[in-house]
Amino acid sequence: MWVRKVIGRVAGWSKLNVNTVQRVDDGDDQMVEFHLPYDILDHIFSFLKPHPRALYQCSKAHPILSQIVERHRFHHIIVATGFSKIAFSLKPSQLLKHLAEKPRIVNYVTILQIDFASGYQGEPIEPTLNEIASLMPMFPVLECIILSTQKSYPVSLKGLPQSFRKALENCLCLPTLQEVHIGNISFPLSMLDNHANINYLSLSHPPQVEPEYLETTYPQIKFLALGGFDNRSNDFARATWAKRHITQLQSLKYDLSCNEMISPVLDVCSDTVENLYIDLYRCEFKSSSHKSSIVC
Amino acid sequence: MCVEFRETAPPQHDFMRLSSLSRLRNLTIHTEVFFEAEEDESRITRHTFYDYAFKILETAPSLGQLTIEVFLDLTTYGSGLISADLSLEKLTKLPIRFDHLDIYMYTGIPHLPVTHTFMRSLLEGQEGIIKLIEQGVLVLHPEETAPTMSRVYTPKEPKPECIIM
Repeated sequence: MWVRKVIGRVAGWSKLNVNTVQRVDDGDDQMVEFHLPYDILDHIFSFLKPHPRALYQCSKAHPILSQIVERHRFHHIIVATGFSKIAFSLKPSQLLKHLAEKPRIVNYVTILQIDFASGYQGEPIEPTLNEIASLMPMFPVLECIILSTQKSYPVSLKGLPQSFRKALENCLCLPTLQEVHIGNISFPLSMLDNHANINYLSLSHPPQVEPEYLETTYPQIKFLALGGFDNRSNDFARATWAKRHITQLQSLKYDLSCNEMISPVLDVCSDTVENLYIDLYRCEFKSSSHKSSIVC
Repeated sequence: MCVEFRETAPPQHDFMRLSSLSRLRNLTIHTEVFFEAEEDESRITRHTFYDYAFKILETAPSLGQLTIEVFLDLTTYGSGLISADLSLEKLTKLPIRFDHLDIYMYTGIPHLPVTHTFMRSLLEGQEGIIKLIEQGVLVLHPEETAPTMSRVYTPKEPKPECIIM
């Protein structure tokens, strides 16, 4: 027996009646009615958060489903500075259009991802970044910020417009913000200082470690993820940054590009780390495999 | 077509010994099985990293919970579920008493999902592992990705244009 078609109609917001046409074993179709409370449907859709394509399809299935789905569909918004390879990324103008049509969306966005892609047709990205900067204060309950790029060379945050850096700093001040993910971007770690709310940090490129000042309040990172490092990153591990920021670290994630610099990091938090995540992927193993058997 | 199996050797240099982590309870290892084809497509080579994972585990005697996530990358021409590998019997030979083990395996390809039956078939003959499953210590999670502490998780997945139909 399998469900062939789902049609939803609402009986108030407390319960959603879903009629399904099911095919029984003898091949006849049979109408079966389920009564699914709104909360249950909402809970079901929450499991689809990592699957934006599925959520998009659900939102197209029926206007009522669309309203339930959008809370989850827009929890993670990706806005790109140009042509992005990331599925479901938006231009700032597209995001603005969504917000104009459905202003309530701003309250659903908990993850804001900014993808530094090359400008459309070689255009500079600065005007787009200014547009993004004007959008960033609109999301009051951000929990996570992701700065990503597909570029092979690192993007320098210092080279970006002042308006964007200011908007980013303001977002870091949000009391709801806890997570910061930095991709292949040269990011000054001092930007995180005085933001004690941040407890999760992931870095995919060696950051800029700058001098620190006595009056600084250092966020105590509970979860640190490191990747894309190399031997030149030892300065990061040896720097006082680790000693001031990860003495209460509970969870650490790293890939083997960090292998040679991870020991000094762990020396700082060896008495507190309870959870460890290690990535073993092919990029870290080039030219290191040996043949074990052959079957033809 | 020949299928050649390669197990990735642990690196020559020292790696982190987890025994220094006095409070370590949970370890998650994300790894993959992938294939490389010769230019004339006469031979494909399968790569796994299980030996490397076991080397790491040998340094973590006080570990309570272990999660292994395996991404099965089938985007190489000639590869298929039949060429997969889940050789984990060495886990039962380690001097660790696991409270709980989770094995996640996924392809990310909707029409070629990893199933529970498939995972069990890969574990055939690995008596120690089968026993752990029967005791409820080891749980298989077909076509699922391991949970993370982050709000964001992007599992590895094949590019749509690379998927072999």
